[in-house]
Amino acid sequence: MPTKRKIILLLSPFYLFFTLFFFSAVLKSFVTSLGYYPIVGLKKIGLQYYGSAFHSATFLASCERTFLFALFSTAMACLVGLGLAFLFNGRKNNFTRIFFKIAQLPVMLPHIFIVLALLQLISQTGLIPSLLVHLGIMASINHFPLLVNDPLQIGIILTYLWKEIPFVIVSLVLVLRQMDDRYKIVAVNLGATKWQNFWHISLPLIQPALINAFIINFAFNFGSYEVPYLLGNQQRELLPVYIYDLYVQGDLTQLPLTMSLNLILSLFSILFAGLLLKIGRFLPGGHTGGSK
Amino acid sequence: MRGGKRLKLLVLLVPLLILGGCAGNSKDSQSANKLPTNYQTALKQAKGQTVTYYGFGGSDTQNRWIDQVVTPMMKKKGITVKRVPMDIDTILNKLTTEKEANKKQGNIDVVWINGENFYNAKKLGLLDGPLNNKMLPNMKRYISASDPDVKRDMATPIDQLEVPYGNAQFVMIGSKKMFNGNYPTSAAKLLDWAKTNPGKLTYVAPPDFTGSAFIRNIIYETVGYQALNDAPATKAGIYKVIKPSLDYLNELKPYLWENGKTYPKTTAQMDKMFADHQIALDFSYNQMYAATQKSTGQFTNDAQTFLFDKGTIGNYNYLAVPKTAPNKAAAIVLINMMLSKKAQSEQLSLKYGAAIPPYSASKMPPEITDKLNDSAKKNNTVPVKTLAKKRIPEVSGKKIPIIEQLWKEHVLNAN
Repeated sequence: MPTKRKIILLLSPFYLFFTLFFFSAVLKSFVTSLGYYPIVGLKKIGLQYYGSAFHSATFLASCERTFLFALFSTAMACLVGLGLAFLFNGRKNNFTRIFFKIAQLPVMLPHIFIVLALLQLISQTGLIPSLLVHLGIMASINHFPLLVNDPLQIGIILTYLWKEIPFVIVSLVLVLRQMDDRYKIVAVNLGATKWQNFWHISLPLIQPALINAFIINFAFNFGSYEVPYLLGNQQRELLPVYIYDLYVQGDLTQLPLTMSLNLILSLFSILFAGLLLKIGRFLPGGHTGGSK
Repeated sequence: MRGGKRLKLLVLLVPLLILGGCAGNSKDSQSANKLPTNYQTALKQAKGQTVTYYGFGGSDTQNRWIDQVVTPMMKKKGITVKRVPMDIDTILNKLTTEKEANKKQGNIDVVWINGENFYNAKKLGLLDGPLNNKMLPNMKRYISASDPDVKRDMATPIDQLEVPYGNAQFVMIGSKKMFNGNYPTSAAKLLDWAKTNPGKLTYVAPPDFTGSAFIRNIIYETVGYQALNDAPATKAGIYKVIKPSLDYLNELKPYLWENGKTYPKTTAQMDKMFADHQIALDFSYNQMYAATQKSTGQFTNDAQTFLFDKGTIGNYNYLAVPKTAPNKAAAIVLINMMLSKKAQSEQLSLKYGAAIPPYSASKMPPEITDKLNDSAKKNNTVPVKTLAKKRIPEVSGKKIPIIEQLWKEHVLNAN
């Protein structure tokens, strides 16, 4: 067991980097968001920019939309991932072993790769619609449903699922593999049904890993820029795109507002992650959970 | 335990000390050098130096021009060119941060800039000057000081803080087949065509540069340049003036691709839709775009460039020298080199993006005019004279984000 001192020393390179670059940047945005931006003559410190953020109907609508969207896409990834992880683990043969290996691939590929692949394949001028037209299955490419930049954000959801289902599978299967099979055998021996086995034994054991995966995916889906920028629908603009647009519009006097929006986004992500962790503690398998 | 705590505190403090150290050091750094007084001194001082050029990273053709044409020409003068590709917003942020940190010497010598970014850079006092005829012989030779684009950049007085080096003008590119040779050369004709051919037009959504320019061009068509130029740069003021234009765009909306419920996000997407005949009309801010696209096989002879009868928006790209530039002499030589006839006529070739020189119409060398007119015949682009005649200036960079905002509220999200 390493001592506390050793842990601190081991973490110090990361910590040094983190404080130097990340923390100082956050600090700078915080100071700017309070209205202190002397280079353009803004020196009045206060919460006025946060106030105007919470009074902006566009911002609030975008916030709500982004939250619900992130929640939905994350929940979907976690549910499907959970199901597949159990399926993999239940039947151990060569096929599932290869499938598991392949499932690790999307975890390694960056989001932008999938975004570009989707644009090339399923946009109306993409490969699949052209192929269908050439084969005579479809009369013209305009008949192909709009799957990128569409009002239901199908393109973004597909990207997230493609990347996050494997992530959930990989993190859960690693836990499932270490699980002591004897718990299950005992439970079955005592007459537990398959469902009881899942609910009372497997789920509590993998719950912390599942919550962690949920938090990581949610934080990404809530704050990601490039995926909604390229695949999203403009009428249903997501928060990161809204903030970045404001940032690059070039009006420097707007920078404090942009920074306050940025901090609201980050703070919300952190608070929501904290809430999820808290909930996780009370669920079966959490530190205080299990007992009633 | 106490020792552990002390250690923790120490570790916590170290980065902050380093941060403090950074701030302290920069104040003592040597004072920045000054701009040379004339070209001859600049040339002498610049020998053996390295000049760092921060240009728009997204244009392959222009990067190629710098690397294959300008850099070897500079090498002959004994100067090395280092090209750093970066978006102008990022460059400006970098310069702003340097100024905030009170840094006297940075690492950017020459920067590509225009419009609202120039407005900001000037306001923040980031740029050095004066850059003028005395220092730049090629500017004296080819650009007359009375050109409106030498005086103002998107309504911001230039005050010798930047030099034009590339000429851009908004052009429409239509499909011969789909328009049947009858191009919509006005907003009214465009609307009529859309009504009889629904779903065959669209435009890139702002804040994309090209989409934003299309909307401004529609404003020029419907209410005129003067009205927009005279409008105060406030949301209410601009809304009042451009209301007919927003109405026009809303009338057009149901006849657009996907009933105007969604728009392409990038020009690349729109180019592809145009090449596949999904839409009949493409736009570009490069007059020769149809030609360069044809040379790479993206477009065919079906692509015909045309203008609105009332004209289209034109602007210039500029070069500037930051106050914190470490090698100002070499910066001057580089700018002069980029303005030279040799470099500019090389840039006319398709592999370098076929960018039109920023030269004044009266001072344009005949071989360049001939080259351009030749391309007009071969690649269905518009002759230089017509382009110059049908050129309308940009409005203030401050108004552009407001127009984009109004479009979002009243057109994109209108019911």
